[in-house]
Amino acid sequence: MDALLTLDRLSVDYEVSDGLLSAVHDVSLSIGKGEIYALVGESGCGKSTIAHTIMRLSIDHNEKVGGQICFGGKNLLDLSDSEMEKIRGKHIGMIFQNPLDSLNPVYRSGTQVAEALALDGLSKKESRERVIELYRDVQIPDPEERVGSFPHELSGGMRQRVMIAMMLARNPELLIADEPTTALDVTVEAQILHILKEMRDLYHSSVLLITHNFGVVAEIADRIGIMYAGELVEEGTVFEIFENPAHPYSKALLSALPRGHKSEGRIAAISGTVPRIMDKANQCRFYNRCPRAGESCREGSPTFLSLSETHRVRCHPEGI
Amino acid sequence: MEPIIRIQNLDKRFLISRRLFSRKRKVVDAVKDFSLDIYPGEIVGLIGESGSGKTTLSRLLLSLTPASGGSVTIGSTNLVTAKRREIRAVRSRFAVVFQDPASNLNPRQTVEHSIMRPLLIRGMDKKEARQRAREALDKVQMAETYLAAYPHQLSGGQQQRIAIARALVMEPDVMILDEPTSALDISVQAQVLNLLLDLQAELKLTYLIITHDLNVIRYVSDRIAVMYMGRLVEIGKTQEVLENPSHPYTDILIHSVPILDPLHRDDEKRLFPGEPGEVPDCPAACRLAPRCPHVMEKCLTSQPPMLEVSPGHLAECFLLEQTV
Repeated sequence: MDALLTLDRLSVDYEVSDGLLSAVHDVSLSIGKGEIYALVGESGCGKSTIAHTIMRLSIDHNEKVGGQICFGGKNLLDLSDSEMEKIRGKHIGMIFQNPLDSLNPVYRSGTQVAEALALDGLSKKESRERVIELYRDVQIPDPEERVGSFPHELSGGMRQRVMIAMMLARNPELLIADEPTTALDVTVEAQILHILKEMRDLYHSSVLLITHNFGVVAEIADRIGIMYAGELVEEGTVFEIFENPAHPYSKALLSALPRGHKSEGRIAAISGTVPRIMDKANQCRFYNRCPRAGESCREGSPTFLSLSETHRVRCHPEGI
Repeated sequence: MEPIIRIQNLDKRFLISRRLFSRKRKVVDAVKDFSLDIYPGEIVGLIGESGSGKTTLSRLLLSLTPASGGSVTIGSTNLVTAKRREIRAVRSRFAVVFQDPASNLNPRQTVEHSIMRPLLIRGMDKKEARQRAREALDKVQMAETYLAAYPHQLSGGQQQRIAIARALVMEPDVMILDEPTSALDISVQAQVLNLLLDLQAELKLTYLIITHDLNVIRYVSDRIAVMYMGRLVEIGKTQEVLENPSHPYTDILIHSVPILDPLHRDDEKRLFPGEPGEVPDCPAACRLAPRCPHVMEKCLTSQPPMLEVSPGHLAECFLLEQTV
């Protein structure tokens, strides 16, 4: 499959008072055209940092970014701010967890979507019609009415639809969705996931889905990357990961999900907490919580082991 | 067995201004005609979407907000009509743990102070309170060294353990847990859920767990109560409700939750149109009528009764009249 986006040994470090905090370390992955790639992990694992770095949204100057982000034959990290401005929205669109933070409260929702279209040089009348069409695509009822609604007049699900419409307005090749359904009710979540899937089929966009919800992943992802403490620890197709997780962390995470009733047995909790990684400590980052940790795990960070053409895991052979 | 809490026809209405400064008020039924018996030693899971009235219900049970009608009976006290002193006596049997542990702990006080505070307010002497705090911390499997810590030094899971310890220190019979794990990561959620189950078994507690997470409810609760727009629409044993959902809303809720297995991703999905909060035109109508896939003529004009599906399993839907 042709890769649309490739991360090559991406790392992000933050300068903090007591040294360098490693937020993302040595992450390499690629997303194909029309593919839904889910980056999964617990809070603080670096998944949102990756999304923000791809979009070059981090404004802090105390960060150090290493590696490459290749998109459309260019390394996004080399682009000037004005060149990056042309990529954002037009080629890579992004939606966030809380749509209310992304919408301007004093403008009508339709106006804000039309703003995106104006960038592509559509006239007022054309863009109004296009906005209504987009609202219809994301299944907003009474689109003619709704373009005139202010964000506070819309429910959470409707706002997220407006955000998706705004993103689709410019038909980007890659959509980055950062926890798009976390703030929504389950019935609404199901509707939004359905729309994301349909949009992928309709526009052949690729999606980088960032989430901690394995249910959402099982529902729509093609491939999964599991992150732990800033590192990609396992990658595979959704079936490989769910049926045959290899990394001790992936295994533990999947068995910590409540599935059945307590009478069928307790779920297995992972003891301990995620460590704060300073100055690239030279050992496996899961070492202190790993049930299978051995001496070799302290001697350098493990490298990737290939289990199939699509399935790879960052662990020593004796760990899996 | 006598119920430990008996909720009967509980109502809570809020008046909301239609516009800023307007005199016209709109009545919103946050909780409507809600009846539920909770028995000692059981775990009842209350599930519903945002705005279904779950949290209002928990506030009513704690008398944090006055009810508009109905009764909540604990022992021989009716919380709705009782005097303040009587309420205080009963309230000590209740403890509550909220969703966001960080906002419930005083950031400027140590863990020890936070846990001891309710005891000191009740007039216990400091030495005994300190001892009780130590025991409570031990119950939530945290080392004594954390007594001197401040909330910001703790992780989310640890903060939630402290909140649980503070609830336990009063030796309650009933714990109301409002979204106890929603703010936690998966691995920590598993730790906290198992801790809650261990404590419940050890101390013979009764839990009312309020959540929107069906997987959590399925795991921990003995019975499930489903709420939709202020009404109890279905109640029954966990397995029975999940295997044989008898209210259309329960059915849709169960089928909206993503299945944790990609092999089942293409199974027929029942997409539910609309969003919670759509009020039917006729006040007497079934609240679900504007969204219900099985809506009938009479649903638009009258409220369906609570009908028994099987012993202990009840649902509020006209569809059951045909089958029962």
